[in-house]
Amino acid sequence: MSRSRAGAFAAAALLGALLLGAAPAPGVQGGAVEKLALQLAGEIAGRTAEGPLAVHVSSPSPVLSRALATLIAAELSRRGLGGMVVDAPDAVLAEARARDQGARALARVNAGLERGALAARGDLLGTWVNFWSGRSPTRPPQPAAVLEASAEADAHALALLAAPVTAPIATAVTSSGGTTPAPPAKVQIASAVLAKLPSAIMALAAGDLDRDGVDEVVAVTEDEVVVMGADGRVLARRDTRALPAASAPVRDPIAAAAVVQGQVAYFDARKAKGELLAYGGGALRVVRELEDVPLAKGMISGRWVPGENLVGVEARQWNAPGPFHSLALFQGARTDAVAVFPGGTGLWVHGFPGTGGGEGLSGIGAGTALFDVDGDGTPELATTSAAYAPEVEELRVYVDGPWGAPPKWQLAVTRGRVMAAAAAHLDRERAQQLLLGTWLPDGTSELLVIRRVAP
Amino acid sequence: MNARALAVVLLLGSTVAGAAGRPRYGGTLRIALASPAAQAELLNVDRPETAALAALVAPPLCRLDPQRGVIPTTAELTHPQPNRVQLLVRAGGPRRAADLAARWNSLSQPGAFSPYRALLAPLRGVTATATTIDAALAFPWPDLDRSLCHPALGLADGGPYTGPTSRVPFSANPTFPEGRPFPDRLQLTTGDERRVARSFATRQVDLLFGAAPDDAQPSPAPQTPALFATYLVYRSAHAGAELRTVLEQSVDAQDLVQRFVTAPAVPMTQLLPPALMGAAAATPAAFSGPAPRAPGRELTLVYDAALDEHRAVAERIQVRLHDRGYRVALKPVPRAELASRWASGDFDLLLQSLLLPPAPAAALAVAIELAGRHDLLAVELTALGAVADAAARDARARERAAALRASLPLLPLYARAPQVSASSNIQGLRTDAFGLPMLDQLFLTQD
Repeated sequence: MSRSRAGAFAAAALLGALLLGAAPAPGVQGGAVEKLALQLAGEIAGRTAEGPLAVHVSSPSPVLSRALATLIAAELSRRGLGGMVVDAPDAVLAEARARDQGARALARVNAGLERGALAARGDLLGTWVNFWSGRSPTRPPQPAAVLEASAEADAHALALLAAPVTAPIATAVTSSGGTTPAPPAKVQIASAVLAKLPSAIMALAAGDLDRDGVDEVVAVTEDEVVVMGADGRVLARRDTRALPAASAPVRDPIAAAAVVQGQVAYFDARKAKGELLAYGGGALRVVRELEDVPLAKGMISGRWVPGENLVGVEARQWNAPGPFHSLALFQGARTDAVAVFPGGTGLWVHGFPGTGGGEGLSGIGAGTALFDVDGDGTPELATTSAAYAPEVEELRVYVDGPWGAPPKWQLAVTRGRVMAAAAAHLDRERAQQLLLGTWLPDGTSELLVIRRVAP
Repeated sequence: MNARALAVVLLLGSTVAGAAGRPRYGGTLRIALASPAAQAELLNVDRPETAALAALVAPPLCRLDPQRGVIPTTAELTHPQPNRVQLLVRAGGPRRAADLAARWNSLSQPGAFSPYRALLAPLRGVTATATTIDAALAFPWPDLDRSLCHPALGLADGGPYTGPTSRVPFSANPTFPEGRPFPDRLQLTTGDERRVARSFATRQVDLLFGAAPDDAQPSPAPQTPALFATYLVYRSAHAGAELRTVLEQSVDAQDLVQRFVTAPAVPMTQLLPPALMGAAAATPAAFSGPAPRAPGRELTLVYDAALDEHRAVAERIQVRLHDRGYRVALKPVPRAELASRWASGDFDLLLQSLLLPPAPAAALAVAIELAGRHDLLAVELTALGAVADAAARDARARERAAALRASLPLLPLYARAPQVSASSNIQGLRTDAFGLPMLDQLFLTQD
């Protein structure tokens, strides 16, 4: 299957999944798109008493527009107002088409991402044709209203927004020079909450645990290991509270996690040993205990510095400048790794592990990872603030190049502090998504997904 | 603000949680304290300047987080039965659980020298088995979890730091259940306010307690809950029935706060500090009626000899009562003697500061105990403990505090919060629900 067809298939599947759950009873909580549709339908229904009502939605993504319009129309029909979807290239033409289709009113909304929320704004206008007006397109005085609604963005919403750029954004360059590489499409990134967890996320990993071609997400928290699907649904949990404690307790919650050959390897610094877990049948099974800390997807391993938030590696495995907090790996045409050291410093190693050093980094935070956001086969470096408690947490994404250049993308993290990061393939696209684990003041945490969306 | 010293006077807000960069281990945290150098004073939990330091070596059983509530640290409380509690002591071994049980039993005795015994009032038959303490509850007391986080009820040792000795400063304790603190060492220097403020301005210390940095304006109001409450306790039998009216009319708490008390502080118009009374903290009706005079009546006011602030407040009270015909003799006494005199009722007037728990019902219990009304304690606590909903119980406790204010033989004076300044190379400074900076969470960004 070509990637563009796969993208269309994924978008259609998402739309289908939304429609299957599209007629919830009032008060039933759904995804962000469903919530937004319910809000808008409620506003529309509250301002007009007679159908049929036409709905026109515009957004950066045609797929999102169609999904939202469909859900609003379905909810209006459920309320006895005869919802219909108007397909038109813009809102002006939509009014004429709504008249042509015999609608009594038209709701026109524009939807998009705003500061982590899926927001929609627009208007509601009467389209009933007054016989006595002749050919003049007069509008009736009622209904006439401003529409506005928003819902916290989730992974589904982001996936729908990303759907237009499922086409290849860069083509491979042949050595014969016969193909000119297409200029990369404009890409923007956005975040959404994938899951909320009851305790602090100490480490994140992703990998295809069920061999379906899409990564599962692994979060190691203070109390458990949680495996989630690409949509954030919990697939399996393992309670780790009963594991024996490390001889030297660690104040700063930290762990390492990796998916190694389809199994989950993790090591919580507060525990005496790590574990290798196999996922299957909706459960996690212990394969064996781990004496060493799994790093770089199992390429190397290390040992926790007793009582501290640092892991050390023997020089024969990797000649690191010293103990580090975390190590993130990217495997593509080239294997890269980035290590986060104390004091907000880091090292980006090309051709990991290699024998040489790497490029020194500064001002990087605990949430640091390498991921291919634009699907061009080379990794971008994503990192958060190096400050302990910044006023506003911010994600910065740098392209491969001399350190010191400004980031290509910046994204404010609206709440919490990012303390873990990992790259993931949450769909069958070449571009990767970024997972961020944020700590919230109440001791809980959120798992965010960062992905490209249409500009 | 003293830009010259590159210092930051921290507003000890408690909203920041977590981190974006990871804390760094190592280094020596240098703390200066405006205080007498007496070692025993450094572990005094009744003073804003020293209570946080005391927790470094004698840790509370739990941490009371403003947002997350009770977080077990050195012990965990469970309720195996509705009328029984069990405390699993994580730090140390069987000896430490036995020591703690013995301390609690001693504190629970009627003649105990501490008003904090009220926090243990619901407990009966405290016993220790291995690492567990068992006790029965005489009546339901939902605020026990919060009360047990009080620094006065914690362990005697085994905190995040050990020491200090005459040669070695405080050292990080690698076996502390929450994990060793981030700095390797903690160095404490004491001195008068000017000296320690100068040390801070010249970056010889990282953290300043109990003094304002050079050129800094003291904060007019506490940024954190001010729960160090100071009361003037009196014995009506000694002092005469009219004394209450005289004290109410002549002692001006606002005047004390503005002129004699180290900032940040607030006057107390109610039995409990404004931080606990909330919207119920309306000023009570002024005492009316003719101003009584007692020509030539002699009273003795005892206070803690180690506290300059109490001396200043005592002198002010002496002057104000002199205007009303009282001859007040001031008697500074050692802290232990002050506690002994309070427990035996051997005083006319007595100045006492306390760290109240951030739970109105538990704080009311301590205030009633300080007033010596043991008869009232069981009655009030039984009624309050029967209110299961926390918000309703807090509201009921505020009502009772307002109702009891005039009938208890003590006069609320003022409430203080810790005054702390940190240099820019300190990170991780947060406060708990007591308003105390959690010093074991600090780390240095550079050596």
